[in-house]
Amino acid sequence: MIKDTVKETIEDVKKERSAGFLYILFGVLLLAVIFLSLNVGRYPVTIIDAFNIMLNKFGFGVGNVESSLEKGIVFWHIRIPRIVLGICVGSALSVSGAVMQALFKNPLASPDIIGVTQGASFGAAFAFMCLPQVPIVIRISSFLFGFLAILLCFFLAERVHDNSITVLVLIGIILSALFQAGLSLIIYFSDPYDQMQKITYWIMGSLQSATWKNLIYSIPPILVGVMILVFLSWRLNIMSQSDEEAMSLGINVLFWRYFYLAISAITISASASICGNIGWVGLIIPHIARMLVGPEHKRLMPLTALLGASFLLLIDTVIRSLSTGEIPISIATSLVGAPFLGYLVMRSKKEAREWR
Amino acid sequence: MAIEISELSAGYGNRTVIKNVSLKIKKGKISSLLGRNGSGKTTLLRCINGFIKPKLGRIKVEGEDIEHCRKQELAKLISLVPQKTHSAFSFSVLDMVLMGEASRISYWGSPKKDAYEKAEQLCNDMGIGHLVSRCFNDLSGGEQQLVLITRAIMQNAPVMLLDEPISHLDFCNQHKVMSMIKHIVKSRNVTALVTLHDPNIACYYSDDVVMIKDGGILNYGDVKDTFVDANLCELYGELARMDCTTRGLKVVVPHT
Repeated sequence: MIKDTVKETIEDVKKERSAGFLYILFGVLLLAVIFLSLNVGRYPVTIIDAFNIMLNKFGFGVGNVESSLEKGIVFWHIRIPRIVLGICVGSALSVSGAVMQALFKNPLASPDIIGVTQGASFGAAFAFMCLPQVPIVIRISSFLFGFLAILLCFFLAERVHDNSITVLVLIGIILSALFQAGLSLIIYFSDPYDQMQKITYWIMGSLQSATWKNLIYSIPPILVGVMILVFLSWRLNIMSQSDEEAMSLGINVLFWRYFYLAISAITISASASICGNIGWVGLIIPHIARMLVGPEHKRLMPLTALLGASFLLLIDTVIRSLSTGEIPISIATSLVGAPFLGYLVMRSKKEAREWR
Repeated sequence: MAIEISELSAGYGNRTVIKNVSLKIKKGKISSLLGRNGSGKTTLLRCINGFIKPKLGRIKVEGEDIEHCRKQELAKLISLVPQKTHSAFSFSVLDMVLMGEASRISYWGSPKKDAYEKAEQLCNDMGIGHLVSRCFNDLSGGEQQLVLITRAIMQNAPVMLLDEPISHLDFCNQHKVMSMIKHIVKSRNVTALVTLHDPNIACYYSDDVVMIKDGGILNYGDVKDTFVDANLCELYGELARMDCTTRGLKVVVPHT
């Protein structure tokens, strides 16, 4: 008996260590992707350049000042905002995905299950069509419609006096279909030479709008949302059990369900309002993280955030260096995400069994 | 009294399943709820653990009216062992047991080192110490049930509700789980209210028996007094009667 206990304790210590080791490993990977993202592109900024620019910024200028100035502009006003946006949106989408999978007790749930993404897309298209063509107006409209979707979801669930997961999924499907229909209607009536192109490009997602001016409004809700979801992650273990079990364990199921949904909705809406629709990140990243550290959410969430940030930044770096005109990021995430999920299903019997 | 129920009526929507039930469950005993399918056993348990709001009546657990209890406070009074659970994710046994600590953890917190030590100790006490790092979904039915019971003990509540804990287990595991429940009740002075289908298991392991028919209490009392032909006949129709084995053990047999 004592031998068994010692053996198990050692295994747990190993597991804890391996989670810590994975955080460090994927933290280093994220740093590597950041440096790669700085360096790759039509105007490369190497690590040494970045170092020089930082020194110049703080008054210790070395090397060619003119070249440093040009690179400084690219560094401070193009690369860094884009990297910051990629990291924040990547972690936001993947963390929200993990939350949705826990709340809906289904590993195939994704952040758009309750219609927030479709709401945000409709909001942006509505702004392109009916409101002044100012970027901030489009972003606010997109954010508000995304948030409206979750409010409608809560309101309708209250009206039918049923707050079960099944009803929430059904309402999500209804809202998604309605927003999708509204979006199609707007596209149908939009000017094909101007509005339609803008709407279609926006829907397919891009990190192109990463400027400090835009980031000031979008990043705080994303960062705060991600931090709340990561710090309050242990209760998700219990939320992924049946409602009766969760309640008998001392959890106010309804309060926490709405709390997690509301925070996720804010995070997703804020991300969608600046980047448009980016699919698959929220679905596959939690799976990869789960394969590495297991389903326990306190270990899972930080790794999910790190992986999501690295993944989206890497994909963005690749697509902006592949062609002169940028490929919308959602196409790339789908092209990578869909086959990768198929690969996971075929390779990992354990993961596949979870879905049955 | 561990549980006091007075004039309780409850159900789903317009349908009333529990009709005007009054009942007192004694402390530190195993009380079995016996009844046919659809008689209201599970609904009664759901009312006691606060999952269903009663239409009428009152329930007191350890002297506290559960209507005024917050979920966190209620979890410190009552723990639940569900009939069967399947987690959507492959949590380890240790992670499952640690969930029992939820009522004592702050909103932003998570189990600390002492909770891990306590969970491991409990697993060892329950004879599942060798399973702590195994995936819960991969365990056999009997092992899963022991894990769920361990999680309920982790909650450290004076009352434990068990909803058909052995209904899908084989003969050996049925007796293993029931023996464990009996051991817990005696060693930890816990009150267990168990819904059961098998009258022989109820007869063998319980201190008291509650017989439920059509949402009402048919009989309640000590096993010896309750398990008589007349009561069984009332509960199961003409299908069951008491008999005695050659070793003097009372058993319920089909009426042939």
